[in-house]
Amino acid sequence: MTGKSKTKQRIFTIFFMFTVSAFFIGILSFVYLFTKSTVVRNESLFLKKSVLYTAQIEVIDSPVEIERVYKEKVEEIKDADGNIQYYSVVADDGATVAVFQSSGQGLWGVIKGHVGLKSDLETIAGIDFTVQTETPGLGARITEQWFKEQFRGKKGELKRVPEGTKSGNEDEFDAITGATVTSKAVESMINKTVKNAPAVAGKGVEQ
Amino acid sequence: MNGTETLGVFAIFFAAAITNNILLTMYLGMCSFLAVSRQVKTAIGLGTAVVFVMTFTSAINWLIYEYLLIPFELEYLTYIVFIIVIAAFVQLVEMIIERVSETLYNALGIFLPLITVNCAILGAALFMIIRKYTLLSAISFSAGSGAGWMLAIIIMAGIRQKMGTSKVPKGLEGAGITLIIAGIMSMAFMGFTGMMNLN
Amino acid sequence: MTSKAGKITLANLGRENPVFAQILGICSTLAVTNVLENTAVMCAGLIFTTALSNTTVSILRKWIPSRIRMMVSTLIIAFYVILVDIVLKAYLPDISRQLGAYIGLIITNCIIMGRAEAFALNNKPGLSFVDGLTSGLGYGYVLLIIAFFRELLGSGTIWGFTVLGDWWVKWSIMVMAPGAFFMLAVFIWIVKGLILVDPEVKK
Repeated sequence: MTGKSKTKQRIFTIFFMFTVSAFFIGILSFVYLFTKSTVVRNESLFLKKSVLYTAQIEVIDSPVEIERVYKEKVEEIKDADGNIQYYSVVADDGATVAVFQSSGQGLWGVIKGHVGLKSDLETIAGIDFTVQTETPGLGARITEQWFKEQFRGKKGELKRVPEGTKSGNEDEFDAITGATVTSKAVESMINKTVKNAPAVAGKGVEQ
Repeated sequence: MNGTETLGVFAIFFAAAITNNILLTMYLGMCSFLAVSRQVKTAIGLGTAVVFVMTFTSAINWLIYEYLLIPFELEYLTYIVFIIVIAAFVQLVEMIIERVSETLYNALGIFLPLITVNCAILGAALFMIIRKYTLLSAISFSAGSGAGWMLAIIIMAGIRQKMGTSKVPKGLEGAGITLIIAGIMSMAFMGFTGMMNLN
Repeated sequence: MTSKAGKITLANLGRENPVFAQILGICSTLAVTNVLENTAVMCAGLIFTTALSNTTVSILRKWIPSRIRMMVSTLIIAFYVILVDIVLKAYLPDISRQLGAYIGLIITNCIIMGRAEAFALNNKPGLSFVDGLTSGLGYGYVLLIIAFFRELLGSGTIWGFTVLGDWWVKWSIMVMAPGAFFMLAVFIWIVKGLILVDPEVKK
């Protein structure tokens, strides 16, 4: 008798696990699919906002406005496969800014962002970060205004200096104390972009 | 597999175990670390179990992610699938140990099921996905993380055992002093940062 | 009924506090508390998840086969966390981006699993809800206190607003791993040594 009820127990256990899993995963899938379009739209809006910020374009933070200004001022330059190579943006002062996608390896994971270069492909118009999972309070501070804003106007390949130096030199930027790996990653991201910029956008950005 | 990749795999193992120690730098796996680090013997036992579970479940989860979740665009289910795989694996290991060695089973006791909620295991699995490791690198990474965790808990147990006769202020007994030791250990391990340049 | 709920509340907030008495949920306590705002978001997430998962586990408790109860609890906990994540991504994307890194920490948070095992499996849904809620609150206030000090000493700010000017040399160690360990140790020391003094060891 024990043999039979044990098998019954085992079958019930497996059946229970499957049913419960299917039930909860089912609800999750439903909610996921239901919100998918909203999530995609949020993401796209976020990226557009980032491109505009990188090119130092002032825009009111509303979906309608962002879409309008983006449509008006940004041209997506794509390659043969349809992937965006860079963005050609008409900045507020009329000049063209080339905004490149950039990525690097941070402490916890990949850091992604945008680096905007003026038409000489050396002067930095601005930078922004779109994806980062660095340590909050340390590496994650790269998303703070003061950190990003300091890059506007810097030129060429950059070097890190200690935080607080507020260096006036156009090839130095303040790193973040306690976030060496993250700061290094940002440095290499920017320098890589500056180095590769002529190859990617050289043909298009001549005024 | 060329020369640089082999070196890379070792570097990942070393980085995971020492310079980016999953427990002292990334704070994962703390609960069992604080609770079980009283004796070196138990620490070794638990540590070995963690290394074993971490390495195998990460490998299984990598395969599931690569060949099931990505092709079917089910990435949003990553957390839930990973943790269930870990829970099922631990359950399986528990059943096998119970049948194979009664003594080991009794020695590990409650700690075996506790491995399921060891955030280090899920954490390692998620890291390998975020960092887009190949299967080999992922295995090296998880084994390294497990080894690092085991190293930390053995060191802690050793220190605590030695401290058995020291006078600890009453309020700090147990968890308090363990945390302070952990803090000092973590500072020591910070000295290793920058040894591995992953860029 | 009310006094039982009251007793549970007091215990979870005080003598049986998940963080300083039971020593649970330490991973997130250390990771999250260097920025006050993130701590608040994390605590909200945890309170929500613990309360609901406790209730759900309690509702299903009579059917869960004992062999797989950990797997089922894990499934339920992960379910709620991911649900929150999906909903946030769609309707509160900025908060979702903040919480993103911590999602994994909530799923493996020993407090949620601990309460499910210790309480929800043996108690009615109503009480389980209270237990989950108050455990979360007990965790929450401890973390907020620690975060307050860590952010203040380590960055000179409270909730992102600069409070201590440039004259303050930031205790960067407070923002990093060791600072978390020390801060928590001090907290436990103060609570255990001064507040929760053993009735027999009266001064």
